[in-house]
Amino acid sequence: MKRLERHVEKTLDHMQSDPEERAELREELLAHLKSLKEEFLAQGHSEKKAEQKAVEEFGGPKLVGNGLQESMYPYQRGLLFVIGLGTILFGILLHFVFIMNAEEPGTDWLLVQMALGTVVSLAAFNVSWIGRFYWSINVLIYLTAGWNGFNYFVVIRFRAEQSIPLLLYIAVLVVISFLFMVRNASFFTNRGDPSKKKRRIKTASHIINLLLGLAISAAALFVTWAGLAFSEYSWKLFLPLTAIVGWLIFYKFQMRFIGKKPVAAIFTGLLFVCVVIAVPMVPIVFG
Amino acid sequence: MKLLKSKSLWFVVSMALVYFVLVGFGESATEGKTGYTGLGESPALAGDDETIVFPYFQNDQASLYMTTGQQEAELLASPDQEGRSYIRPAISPDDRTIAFIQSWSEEETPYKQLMIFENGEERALLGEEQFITEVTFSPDGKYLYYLKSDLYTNYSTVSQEHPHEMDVYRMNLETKVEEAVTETDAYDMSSLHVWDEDTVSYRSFEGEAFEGHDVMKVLNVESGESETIQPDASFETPSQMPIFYSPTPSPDREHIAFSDVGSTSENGTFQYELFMMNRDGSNIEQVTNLHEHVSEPVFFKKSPEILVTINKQFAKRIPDNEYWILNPETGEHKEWVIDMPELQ
Repeated sequence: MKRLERHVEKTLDHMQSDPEERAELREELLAHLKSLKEEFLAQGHSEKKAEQKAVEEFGGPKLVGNGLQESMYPYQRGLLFVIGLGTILFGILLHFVFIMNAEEPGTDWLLVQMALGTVVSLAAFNVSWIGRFYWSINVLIYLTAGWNGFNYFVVIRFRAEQSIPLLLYIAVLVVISFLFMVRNASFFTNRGDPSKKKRRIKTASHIINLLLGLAISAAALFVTWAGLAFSEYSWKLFLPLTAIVGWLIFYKFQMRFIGKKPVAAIFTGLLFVCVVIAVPMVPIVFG
Repeated sequence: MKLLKSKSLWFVVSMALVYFVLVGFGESATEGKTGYTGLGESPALAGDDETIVFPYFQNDQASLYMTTGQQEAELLASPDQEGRSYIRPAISPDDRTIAFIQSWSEEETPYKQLMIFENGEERALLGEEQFITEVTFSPDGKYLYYLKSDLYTNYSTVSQEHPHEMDVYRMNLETKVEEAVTETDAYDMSSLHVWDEDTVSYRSFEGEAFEGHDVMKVLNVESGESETIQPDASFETPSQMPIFYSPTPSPDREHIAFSDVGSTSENGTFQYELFMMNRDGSNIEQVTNLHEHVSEPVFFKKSPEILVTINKQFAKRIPDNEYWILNPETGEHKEWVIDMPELQ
């Protein structure tokens, strides 16, 4: 029996399912393997041989695990690879454009670009483990998309023949990242919900909340960039970035709330945006 | 799981190797080659209308070159210290002396020092602590007029540091005695021109912050009387108000050439064109329609033509300057192509 359980565990290692879903799958796969074993026992094979043949008939853990991953979470691993490798490739392209323009290549910039791309690619390699941390992986992709989006301010100052293709590249990367986050959040809240209508409302709520998050991020990055570009350096210039940190923390609870009350979650998302806009006004209004 | 871990490890090691290879390649490919290489703005036109002295940047460091007509440019003066540039040249009326600014930064503090080039050698006229932004000769060649800033700061946290508390000064080139021509501690001053022995003009900001506007002040040095020149109130540009950049008087002092926003590019960048107007601000005409950044007009003395600097990469990371000759009467314009010697 241990052989069958081991085989099921190896198969589950290739999937991103959370503990609850994993337990259900474990039971289902084990039942299937046991059934196969019973068939081979009935054909007159020994217990050991029946287990071996059941495992062979069932299929290798990698093949079955990857197949199940793709059928239950289609394209998620592929999208992660596209975002990760795309982020690395963008860093390399930017590096060569700097060299072509006879500018000092930004080695720190390249390091951040490659580090983010590598971490996302590692998440794709290890989607069976990291995939079950839905919020964490969305935070990783959100930060990667934000950083790639921030590159707009670097690229816009290049010549048109360099900046236009690079801007298109950034746009595609950000759109793919957004797509991944919506799908990832939807997988988190929609599993086990038989109602198609409810699933759609939840997905719509995720889209609106993530768009609000991106809007906060874009505004915070713009204000930070404008401060760095047009005024004297100070740690205070980075204060707008706290809005991004705040939203990410808020989003951890919001993700679950969307699963329970998707319509109300749209309003709480809007309320958070209002708070983010209102907080900087306090010192202005009250002197 | 073991297979995945080993894949991950190999991937991280590969990316680290790629990073170090890229950094190494970048350093070797750009060693001594970074920074802007090309023409600087504000060339000076000699009295013969055929010779210009101009700054040329090589890897962000500018030297002064001279060229006549189609001849290959000749190096006049080059800074001997790394990171310094010779910029904003002005030619004396007898064409024998060139005044210019030596510009550099040390520990993020900028320096702009008044220099002079004569008899094949350059030397400082003022100390490093004197922050001089522009220089020009008086028509008789006896005086050097220049703009001096006493404060380099940002008045607001949302603005960059700029030279402030500015005034016009002049130096008697024989006695080397310096005197203040204005005592205004102006927020901003630029485009200094000496009209005659008694009259100077400069661009300045007039009015309260966020409510004022740029004007050209014409000052009688002896009497202290001044005249304010600005475009007519009916003049409208895509910017909220006229910027009235680099106003320059014509040789007969009856017209003012200036640079202002003519249009906006697709990505929202202002495109500066050359305009001409009467001295009283009336009859404003747009001379160019190049959709570039046209600035720093210099009038020819023997023809109605104007020499301008056009930055084809305005608001971009690295400029791309060209010198063009415009004829406001015929509307013709042609590039003054500079034949540079082979640089190391």
